[in-house]
Amino acid sequence: MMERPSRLPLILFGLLLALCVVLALAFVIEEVPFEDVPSSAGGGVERVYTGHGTTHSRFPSMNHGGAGPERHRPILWLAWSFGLLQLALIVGCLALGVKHLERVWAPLAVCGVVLGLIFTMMVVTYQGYLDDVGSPLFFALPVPTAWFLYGFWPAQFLVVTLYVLVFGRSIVTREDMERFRGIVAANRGGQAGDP
Amino acid sequence: MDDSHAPVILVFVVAYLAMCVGVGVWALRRTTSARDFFMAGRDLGILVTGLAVFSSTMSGFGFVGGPGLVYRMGLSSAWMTVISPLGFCCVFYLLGTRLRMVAELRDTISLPDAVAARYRSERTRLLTAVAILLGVVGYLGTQILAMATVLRDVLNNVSFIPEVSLVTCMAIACAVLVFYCVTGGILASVYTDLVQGAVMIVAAVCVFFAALSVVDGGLTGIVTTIMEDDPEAITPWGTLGMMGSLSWFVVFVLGASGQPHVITKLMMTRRVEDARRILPVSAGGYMLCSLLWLSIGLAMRALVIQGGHPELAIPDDAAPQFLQFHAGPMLAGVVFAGLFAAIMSTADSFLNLGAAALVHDIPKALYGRSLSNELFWARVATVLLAVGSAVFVLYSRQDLVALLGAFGWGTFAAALVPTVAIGFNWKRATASAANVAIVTSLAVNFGIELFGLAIPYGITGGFVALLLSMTLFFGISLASPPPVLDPDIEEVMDL
Repeated sequence: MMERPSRLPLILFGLLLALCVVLALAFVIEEVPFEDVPSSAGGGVERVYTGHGTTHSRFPSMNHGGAGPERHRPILWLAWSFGLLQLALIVGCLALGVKHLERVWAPLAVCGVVLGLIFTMMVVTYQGYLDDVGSPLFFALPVPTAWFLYGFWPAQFLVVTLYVLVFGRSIVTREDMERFRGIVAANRGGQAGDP
Repeated sequence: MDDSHAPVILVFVVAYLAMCVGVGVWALRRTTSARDFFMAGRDLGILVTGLAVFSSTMSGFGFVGGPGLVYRMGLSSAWMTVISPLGFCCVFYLLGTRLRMVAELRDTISLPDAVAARYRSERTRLLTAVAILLGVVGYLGTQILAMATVLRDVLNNVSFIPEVSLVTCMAIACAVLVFYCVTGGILASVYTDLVQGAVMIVAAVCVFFAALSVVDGGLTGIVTTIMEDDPEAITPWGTLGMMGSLSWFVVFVLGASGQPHVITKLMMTRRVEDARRILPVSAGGYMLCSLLWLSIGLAMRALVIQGGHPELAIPDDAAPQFLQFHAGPMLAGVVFAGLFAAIMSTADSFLNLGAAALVHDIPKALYGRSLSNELFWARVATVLLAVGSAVFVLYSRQDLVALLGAFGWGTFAAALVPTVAIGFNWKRATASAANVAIVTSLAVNFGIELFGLAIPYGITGGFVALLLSMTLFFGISLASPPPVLDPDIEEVMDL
């Protein structure tokens, strides 16, 4: 039986470190917009960041996103990297669960690339949406949302379909199951391990 | 509420609760050992497991909190639900066969059993059981409270029933839940999940079309109304923004493979090969239920902005108010039954997990053996857990309950994804790394919530905890010498 490529855990570790860097950058790059308000704890001012939503002015039970260009344009590239790194980590973890990766890495990579491209289109079209909010809808949704709900959502079923199609060849083969039955029989016959 | 709604809803809810009791009686005759009680005799079929996996994932949070989040934040929370097919893929690619094989090999009856076998470590078993128990108390308490709150709303809207208190409703809710869990254990739980899953799918699809019809212009009308008020709310990032909503992506995708109430069901299937067909059932079922999450939230946001509905007191009212004022009585009845189904299907799984941790895993880790007469004590523990969680919810501070509820998913994700989802697929992973990952995840999750630490851009604390625990898990394992595994476990991990 072929050993799972030992580089994969290293790649996953690298992706995790890259995500740590993105998280650190989120702490370094100051969120915008913000306002300085008198501190509730006494003297001085307190900086309140509103880039991740504020209370709606007319309906307090709702949040309001505020100005998209102001809050998102400085970090568009960071958020794009953030999403792609997470996607790469997820696809890498899926690969870790495939025993016979040599038989399935190409279609799995294609699924990852398709999802990555759709995500990129969400970001790119969102950049256009920031410039022109009045742009036409695509099947009743703004274009970036259409990429998300009509593209990204169903495209994930490529990975589901892949699992169904390659299960017997790459996840658990008939030979694997025969070997497994042998291991269980040997275990039951000998000293059964204590869970 | 419309006068015609209340009795119809009551009939549906009572019929549903009676069905749960009936399943409990049926399952009682089939539960004769602790293995039956915790693992359903490892004999579940494809459809039962598929629906049980998705229905226990979609809790009361999905049916009540989900629409509330969309109402409040626009599409931000879509990153919790729209990405669910990838989440189920993580569950099945990583654990669909591996966990089931270890369960059969070592005849395990709980997740910490399998963890102890994998790592040859009682300390890892103990930490896993403690993480599960901490998450369970929070989740279970909030599920019981949610169930009692909905039941009170239903009963108090029926004119011929006198005013009913929350405590009475909590007692009724607990009694039904405890009855079928104590009598039938996980077997009753998964068979009610089968019905619950089917009810949830029907309810979600019906509600989706009802929600589109309540605003003039259908989906276009809803979107245009929201867009004119706040263009950001209807983008993929919602009002929370890109970084905040994207931080939910990995927590809810990878995190799914760390939810014990989901992955434990994989240990109960009849055949290892069944995983192939269970995945599409679970992913498809959850996708259909997501329609309810999104459609009610968007419709209620548009209705309130247009003045077609008064502003909600709290966002969680979105689903109940939509059903009461904008859906027909039959649909409202089905969806309220679906709402109970969503809450109970998660609560019963947690009762079972908590009972296993108390009577099996923690004693085994501390004293080297589980309690004698395990089945009897499992039933006692189930009652105590349900009553204890209900009392805790009643008498604890509200913010603490909210804290523990939110803590649940993040705790399970950060503690169990590295230890279980990665550890069962990577022989190099060590027990020390697993222990550090679990302790780190608990400390970070608790620390952020307890001290109210704010992370820039609205990034969720669960993401930080998951990232740190996974990085430490990989880093420590790579820096340590390869661990020695039991030969049979090593052979199974080579398959």
